[in-house]
Amino acid sequence: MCSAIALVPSVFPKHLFEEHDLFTRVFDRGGNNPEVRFAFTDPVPLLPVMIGGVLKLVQWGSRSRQGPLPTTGWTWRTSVESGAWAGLGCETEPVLILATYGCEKNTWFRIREGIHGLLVTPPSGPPCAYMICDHPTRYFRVLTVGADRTPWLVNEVI
Amino acid sequence: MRFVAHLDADCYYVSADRVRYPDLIGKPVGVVGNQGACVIAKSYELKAQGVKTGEPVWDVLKKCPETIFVKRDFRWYEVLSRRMLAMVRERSEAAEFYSIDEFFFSTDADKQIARGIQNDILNNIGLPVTIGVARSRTLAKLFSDTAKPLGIRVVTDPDEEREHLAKLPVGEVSGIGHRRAAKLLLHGIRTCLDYANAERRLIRGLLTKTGEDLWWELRGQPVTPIRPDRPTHKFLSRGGSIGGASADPNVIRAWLVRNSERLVEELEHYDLKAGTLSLSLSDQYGGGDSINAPLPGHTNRYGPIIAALLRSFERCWQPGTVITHMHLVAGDLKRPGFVQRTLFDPPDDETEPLAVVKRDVNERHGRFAVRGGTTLFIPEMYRDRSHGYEICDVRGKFCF
Ligand SMILES: [Mg+2]
Repeated sequence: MCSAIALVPSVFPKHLFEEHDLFTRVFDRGGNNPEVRFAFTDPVPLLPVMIGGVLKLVQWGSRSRQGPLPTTGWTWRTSVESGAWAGLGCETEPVLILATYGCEKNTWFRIREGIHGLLVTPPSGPPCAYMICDHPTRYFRVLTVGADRTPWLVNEVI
Repeated sequence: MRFVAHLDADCYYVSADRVRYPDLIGKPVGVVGNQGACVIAKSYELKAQGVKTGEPVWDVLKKCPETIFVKRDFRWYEVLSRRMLAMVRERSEAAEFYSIDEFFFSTDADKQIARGIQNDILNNIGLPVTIGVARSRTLAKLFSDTAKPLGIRVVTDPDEEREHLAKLPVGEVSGIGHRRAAKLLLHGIRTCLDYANAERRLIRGLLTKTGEDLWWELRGQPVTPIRPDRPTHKFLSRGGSIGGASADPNVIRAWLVRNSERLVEELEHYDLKAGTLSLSLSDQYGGGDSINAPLPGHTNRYGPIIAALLRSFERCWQPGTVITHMHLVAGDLKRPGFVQRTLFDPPDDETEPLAVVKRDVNERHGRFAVRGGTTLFIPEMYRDRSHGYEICDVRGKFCF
């Protein structure tokens, strides 16, 4: 799984910084670049996704028990590929979640390009993004001390 | 007078990852080894938190919860290593590929050459390295260790040498481990200077010839020369089963191309050119033929190699003969600088840029991303990207 991600701030256009008050999410781990962090446990959980070539911030999964959406932030790759989402009556679209670092079980790891995500738009209400997960490799399980899922990374396997 | 320089990249794996991920600069970074459990390299930020190489990830997290872990990528480390070596060889006539991030080379006492190499590598590749210059390789390695990071230490004056040696525990000498150091301690030998001042016979008695060699080296008498043309291989070969039996000339040619590309990779890796080439084909009854594939001169270029092999193949293969195995063997291997050029050498300038582009694309997008079109006859060999780079393809210069 991956419960938080971080990105270098330079990928965000200024208006996104202001609209979503990203300043509150800036974290400095040292070095020249601070980073902007997004965690599922944030008061307002967001994910940076590329939609039609434009970087947008959308809600990370759903916490609402009303409506058709599953109350989680993740979905299995097998669920996506087997068409399990088709029955929900929502529009779905594969998206790229931008991420420079990912965090699972308090272990941060470098991500090359990003994570596969699923953008889900219910008939009423704003779209939200789910992070797509896969079965972890032994390597990832050892690294994270027992994660039972791994984010489905773009062109990369950890 | 010529001296020995020892170049050592500073926290190499971390620095190599920072070349392609500059966001990692200045952050606590740990490169994780083969099993996903231990850090095999740490950044100076991690070191400052007391993290040691070889520590398990969960212990590292206790010391530095903000650590960013990177999965090791030996292919990438090897790529940068070869770029460093090329830069050293541009400025020194004799350079030895000692390990993936350490080279010895010959230089003079003034810092110019060392500074030039250090700057070349930093500015063109982005890797920080430290260089020690001394009268022997053992001394050079000791002094580079004390000058990290991004340092240059030239110690060629015997008095200055002794000053430094007096400060270094004898265990710092590569080749003297804990056990040997303990043995030496029983004789009151604690520092490198104690070692250099000890009786030759005592050292010989305690640590045999290896110990005596180090003793000479610590006294500024080089024993082991720089080995620029380390005789690693007499032959390089590639081949094996052709994935079943086939009498289809297109399939056999496709395997010729695949194996030639692997052979060229191998030649490029070891920076060698082949003077001879042979092709063996085996049939299903265990019979077979091995014939010479004459090359137009020493080469490590795909063009002339595949041309020679195809010519030989057409000569020795009877249509209808079922082939099961194929081997390509390159011999009379030489370093490019050591090849005597003749009047009749074909110009390789035309194929050179193509070879460079092919190598660069494959480095970036995976092995065989660009390959000979003939291999389309054996698509199954390329379907799975994980066939691209196996652990055995990392030619071992080091262990951990
Ligand atoms: Mg090093």
